Amino acid sequence: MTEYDEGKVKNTENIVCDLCDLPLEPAKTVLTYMRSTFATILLRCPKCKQCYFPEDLALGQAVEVESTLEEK
Amino acid sequence: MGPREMRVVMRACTQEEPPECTATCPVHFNAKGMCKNLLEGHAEKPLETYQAKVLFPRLVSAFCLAPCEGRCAKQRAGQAISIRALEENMCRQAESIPSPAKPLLDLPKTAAVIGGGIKGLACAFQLYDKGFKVSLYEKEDRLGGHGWLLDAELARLDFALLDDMPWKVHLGVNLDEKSIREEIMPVYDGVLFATEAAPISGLSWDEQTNQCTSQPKLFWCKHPCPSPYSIIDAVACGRKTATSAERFLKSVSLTASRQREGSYQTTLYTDIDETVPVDRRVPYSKPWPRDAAPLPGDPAPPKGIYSAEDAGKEAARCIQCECMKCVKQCVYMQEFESYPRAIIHEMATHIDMLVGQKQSGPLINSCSVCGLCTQLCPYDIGMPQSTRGARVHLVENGDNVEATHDFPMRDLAFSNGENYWFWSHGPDQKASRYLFFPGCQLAAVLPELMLPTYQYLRQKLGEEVGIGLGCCGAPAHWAGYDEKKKDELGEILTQWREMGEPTVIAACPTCQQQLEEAEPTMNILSLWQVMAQQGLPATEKQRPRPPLAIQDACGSRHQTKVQDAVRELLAAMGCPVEELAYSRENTKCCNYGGLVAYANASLAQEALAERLSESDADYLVYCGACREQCQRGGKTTWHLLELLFGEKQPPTVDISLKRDNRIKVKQDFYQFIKKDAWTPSMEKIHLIVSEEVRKTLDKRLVLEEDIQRVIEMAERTGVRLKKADGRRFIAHSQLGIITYWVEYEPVEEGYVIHSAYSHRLQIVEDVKKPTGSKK
Repeated sequence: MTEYDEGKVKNTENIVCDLCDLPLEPAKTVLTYMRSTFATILLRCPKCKQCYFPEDLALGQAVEVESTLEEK
Repeated sequence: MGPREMRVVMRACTQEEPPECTATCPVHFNAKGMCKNLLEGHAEKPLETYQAKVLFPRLVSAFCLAPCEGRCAKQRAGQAISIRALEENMCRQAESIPSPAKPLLDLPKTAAVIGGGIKGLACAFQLYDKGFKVSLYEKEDRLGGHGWLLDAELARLDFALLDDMPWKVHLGVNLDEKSIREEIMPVYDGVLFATEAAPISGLSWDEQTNQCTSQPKLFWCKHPCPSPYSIIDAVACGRKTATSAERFLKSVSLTASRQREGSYQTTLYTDIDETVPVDRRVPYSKPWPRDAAPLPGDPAPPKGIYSAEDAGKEAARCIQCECMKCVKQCVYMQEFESYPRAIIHEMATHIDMLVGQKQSGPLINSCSVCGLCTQLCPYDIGMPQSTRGARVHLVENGDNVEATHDFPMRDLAFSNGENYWFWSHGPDQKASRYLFFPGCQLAAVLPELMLPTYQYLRQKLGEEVGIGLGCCGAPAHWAGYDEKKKDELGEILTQWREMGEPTVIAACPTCQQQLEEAEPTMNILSLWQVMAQQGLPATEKQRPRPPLAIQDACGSRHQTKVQDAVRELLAAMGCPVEELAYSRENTKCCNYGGLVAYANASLAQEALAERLSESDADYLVYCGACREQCQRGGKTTWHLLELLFGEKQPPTVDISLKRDNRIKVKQDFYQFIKKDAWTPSMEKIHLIVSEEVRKTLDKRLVLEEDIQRVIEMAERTGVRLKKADGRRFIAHSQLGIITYWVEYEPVEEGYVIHSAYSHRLQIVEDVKKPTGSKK
């Protein structure tokens, strides 16, 4: 998920964590699927670590990654 | 069914079998391929193959008796392809014919061939090709024997290449028995006789291998040439003998895998129903010797030479024999550009090689398991056993992609959970003689018609009609979760037994199939059989209708009585029907079957669209899933119950409405039988969803119930994100193996849903939240 590499992921929508009242920041986040584990950059609350997986990512690149892992 | 059993099924598919022409040809020349190549303007390719097979292309093409034409499938729809004439034409038009390729090996062993006629040369060529050192002995002063008698000019051209062969040729040598024993046998590792008479008296020869039974290094092309002389049989006889000698010289089995040597009967099925009978486009010249002199008035026989155009026309008549009977009617196999043998092979290899890895693949999960392929196959071979077998195998080994069938499996759990599952005798009854089992999909699609149908049954069959609401486990069957299917059916059978084993009246053909398979002693009737017998409901209003095209359910493929009952009911209603080209036992699936829509949505849509395009008429169905799918595909579709009991068509369902509908059906029956209201235990928060968002959710398989759970969790824990406008929130929750995200806005009446989506990737996060709720 290269487009979501560090530097490209920005909190342009100014989304804040409602729990901690802090703006989300890009941070390395671990994802797992089909016995594979890898890290990517997602927006995340610096305090409580709640993260954000945007819609375009879920419906785009994530589907490709899922298919690849399912077909490996 | 595991990979081993799959391979057994696979081998019965004949698509890869050779066509009649190839199987009949004593040296198995692929005339089908030649026609294709000629059509494509590549005469050089078949010519090279032809030379390699027949060895003497000019002589063979001119004088072959063409047994291939005698069995050409085209004869069943016109005249056989003029294969020999095309071959002759190909040879005559070629500027040069390629010489045999140089052998790849150079082996030390030696072979003597006694007799330099066509058979002997065939022996010599084959042994040379395999790398042995060949010596030829011929009593005449030139090689070629019978070839010179056929046509001296063609013989001269064909035998010219002999000059280049690195063989030791001994001409004018007439070997008697003594010299063979003393001068030949001690010197060579193998001795092959290509003579008409027995070379050495008193020896016996094995029929299958042409090997001498007492002197294993001796071989004899003993089969006499048929009359009239058949040059291709002479070549085949020489080749066969050389094969035996070659195997002997290599010390391998002389008999293994030789069943298909020479002419044999292929098992390839070729459907020629749809081919237009076309006679030969050009006059046909019979091979030498001709059966009879031409009669006065007959056109002069051509010399076997076509114009380029005529040759093309003749090659174009070849129907390129192949089966593909099932593939022609199956969008799934067309999509993967394959046929059962190749698909099953790939699936078996797939699951064999990937043990221990999570693995599935669209190939395995995109088949609707409808069984039309098996129905159409001349050998009763089809995909369902194998595709389902592969799915079961993957599930049992933990190698399936769970997410593929997560939605239908959760739907099954919903149907057999508190929201729909309900079993009871009729109102105020302590026993049931009959049990109405509507299934899950019909209730989800046409909830309003369940109670009227039940009341009809009570009116016709008496009050001892019970009700059973649940799912028969078909989704688990299709997804390959056999243990789960067994459990679900086990629960149903337990309820059925507790109710005194009443006669089951099933509204869904698939339920009927599943139940019959699970409990062969169960007395089970189709709702349509019962209705056809008991007569139309009093409420049924006869009204003039345009004809309806019947979409038979794939589950009813072998339920002839059910198909008949449906038609009887329609006739009784005065409803004209249109039979689709593929109906009854040949019906096509709506593509709910096999859960294709969840594994390969685009394929399911394509297959459905094709089915719906078969007729302009509205469709008539008698399966809940067919009703939903056909309507989703944009076709006005009537379920039989709608004609019988309905007033107007209910709205097209979406995935969330289907769940609400099942709850409603349970509530209706509970109220009617128990005379009390039933409410689901899960308290629902009120969602405000626009029509547009609803459609998106349906497409993305996000249920309102999933959204409610995400919001409930977010509101309870405070773990949610806030958008810049301060009004919209984003929350997520992993429910099972899928993570759902919802963008929502709390308002006074509930929650406005702006979007929702899901993904299969799982986020490893550990949200540090304060204990207890936020608010």
